[in-house]
Amino acid sequence: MREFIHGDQLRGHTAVVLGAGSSGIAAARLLVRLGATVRLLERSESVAASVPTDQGFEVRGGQHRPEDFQGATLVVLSPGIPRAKVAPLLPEGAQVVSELELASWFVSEPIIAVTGTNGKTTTTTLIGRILERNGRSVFVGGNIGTPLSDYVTGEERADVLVLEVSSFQLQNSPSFHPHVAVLLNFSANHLDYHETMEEYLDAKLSMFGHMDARDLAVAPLSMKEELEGRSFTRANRVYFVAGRRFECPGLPGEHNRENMEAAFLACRHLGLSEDDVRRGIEGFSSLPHRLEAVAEHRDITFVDDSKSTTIDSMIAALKSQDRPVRLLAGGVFKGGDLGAVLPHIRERVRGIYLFGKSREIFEGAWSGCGLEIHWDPTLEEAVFRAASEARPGECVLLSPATASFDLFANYKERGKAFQRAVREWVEGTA
Amino acid sequence: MKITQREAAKQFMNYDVILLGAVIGLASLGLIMVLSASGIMAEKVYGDKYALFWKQVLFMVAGFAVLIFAARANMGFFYRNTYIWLLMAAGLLILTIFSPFSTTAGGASRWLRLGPFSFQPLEAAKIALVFYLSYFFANKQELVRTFSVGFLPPILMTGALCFLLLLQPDFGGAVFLSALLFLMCLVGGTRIIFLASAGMLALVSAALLVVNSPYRFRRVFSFLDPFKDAQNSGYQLVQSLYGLGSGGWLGQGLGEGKQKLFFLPEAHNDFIMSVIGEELGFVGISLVITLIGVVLWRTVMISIRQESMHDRITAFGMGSIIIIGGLLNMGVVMGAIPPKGVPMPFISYGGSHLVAGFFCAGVLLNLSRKVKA
Repeated sequence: MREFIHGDQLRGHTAVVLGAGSSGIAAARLLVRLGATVRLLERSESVAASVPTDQGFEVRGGQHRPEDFQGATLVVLSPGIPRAKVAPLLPEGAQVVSELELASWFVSEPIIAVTGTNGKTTTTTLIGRILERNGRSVFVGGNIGTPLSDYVTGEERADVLVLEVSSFQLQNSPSFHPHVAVLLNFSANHLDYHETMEEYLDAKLSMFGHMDARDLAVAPLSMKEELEGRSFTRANRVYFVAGRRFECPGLPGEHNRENMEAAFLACRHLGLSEDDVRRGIEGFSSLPHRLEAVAEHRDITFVDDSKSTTIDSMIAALKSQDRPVRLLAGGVFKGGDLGAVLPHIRERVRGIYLFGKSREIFEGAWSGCGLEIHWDPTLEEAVFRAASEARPGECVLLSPATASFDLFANYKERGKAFQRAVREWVEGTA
Repeated sequence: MKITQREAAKQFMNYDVILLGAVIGLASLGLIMVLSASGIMAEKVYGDKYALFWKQVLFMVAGFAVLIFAARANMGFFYRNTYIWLLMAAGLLILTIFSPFSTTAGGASRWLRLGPFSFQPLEAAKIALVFYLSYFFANKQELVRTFSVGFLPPILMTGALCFLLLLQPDFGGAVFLSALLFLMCLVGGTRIIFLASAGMLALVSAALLVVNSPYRFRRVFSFLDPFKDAQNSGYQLVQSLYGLGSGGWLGQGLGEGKQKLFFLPEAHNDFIMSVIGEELGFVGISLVITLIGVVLWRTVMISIRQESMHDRITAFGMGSIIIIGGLLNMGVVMGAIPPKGVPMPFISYGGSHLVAGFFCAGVLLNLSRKVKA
């Protein structure tokens, strides 16, 4: 095993990390290990205050000021922070990279990267499971779960890394190139962050441009002409359509047939056969009430994350959504810093729909988010309101961050009630 | 007159094709590595991954034209104008010190800028010095063993050029010319006692120069323990060693090196051997050393075959320019000698040293012809 991280490598450098999300903190830790002087900047004071201070880096909360960037040679951007926003503050010559790019400098294992507008998390998890069931040791992470920086600084080593990557990260990743890159689909989304459709697609495709003839690009057949017209990669290319060779009750719907097909093509490049992949897919399901996609109607997806009873799981749920979110929350609040959710709300949430108890606590913590906060006494009413306000391309997410026993016996009952209400709304508007 | 293909082939084989092969091998590897080392930086700075690559291709084409010219020229043209070359080289060095064309980087003005191109007069000085020294040793053979007429003039001439270099200041360039003088005195027949005492003198004065300049002192001694001063003078060397170390036997694969991404700035220049070590491993480094070794071997063979003393010493001098460059560069990249800005012949990015290298190879090829034109 070659050692890539040396304590002298960034000695004398000042590195600035923007955003105290899990990837920002992971990046800061990695930079500290490399010997750099690290400053972690976080706009939200409350989030900044919640970062442990004993990790060898300085944390500064509040608005970014030019002096925060003084002497910085390397700036790491967290997802959701547009480069243009900080550009005027940067010292000359500072290199700006994503956490993904930074961490990838210290990786020699083959990487499978999954991107696209929808289905990233499912496909990433599925590929990880297929490889694991075929005897490979796998790290699954990136945009979901563990950031790559944490893998890099950690002790455990895997044969293959399966990463969910977002266009945010890819845009500031000038050299990141996976062994296999999967583009699942592409539709207008995140246009608030990316200036134009073109820029958004360019961000997604930049990763493919870094790949070479030993690598494999997996993309939907429907995009073949567009992609080939841009001569987007030198890698081998395969295009997929929803196939019939794999059946899995836990992965219903045409989009999941596409996801399975894409996962198969990616795994085949690592030497797995169709049968190996079939074995890997068998029995796969997203856990009930844990980020379970329960319906899709008028291009609005409905996700049941009733199992989310903590603030951390709410943040994880928000991060797992690549669509703008209508967030349903409420119930018996168990404590914690709701302010920590604010950056994620600003980033992804289009509407907040509270129900049941704890209304005042949520409203108090989130009053500064710039969104109208609705409240209904029951979950059903909140679902109807959220569903009717949601626009195509968005997602209605139940991730309450509370215990359920004000209105329900347990989280399962709450999830079932959510799913019933969704069905009712879908039938009513069909 | 029509030249048949066979005659053309025969004429071509008249040249030392092994030397030509080694030079083309080094240059091709250089082109690939410049692309690998500069691509990401060029994309960021110029918006085009191939920006530096195409410039390097242009330099190569120019260099090759110079090689063909030098290989076909009448050597008399070079020999007759020895003092003119020297004066031109000295003039160019003076221009770097006092002229608007000079460009200053990192406190040193070593380059002249003319429109879009920069040029390092040191390269011209190396070639002019070789022509002068070979002329001197060839024509003063009976006097070489005397001190005042046979030894002092080359020392003074080299010293004058070194003095100009130190004014820039370019300590590395002065070391380069001194090394050239030393090697050429050896084959020119200077008495060892003169050389040894002059060598001692040079060492003492170099030591004085170093001790009197804190900047130089730090730079010179940081290589002994670069990790102690990793953020300042030892920084590049530390990064270079990490690159070489992570390459292992076979390297991480072409284009896969990480050091060039952030840690080793300007990796396509003087530290390109570190990128080769990281991406192509021990095997890649060995290939370069072997090719430089081939240049040395052919230089010696071509040299000893010459009937005229003038040709013989010229051939040796031209080969020495390439080989000293290779040794000094690898010494720096591997931390065996104090750091100084020396490019890797034929491999590092840059026009001046590339064209100069091709010129030296061209002169060697010219002299290698078994049948003189």
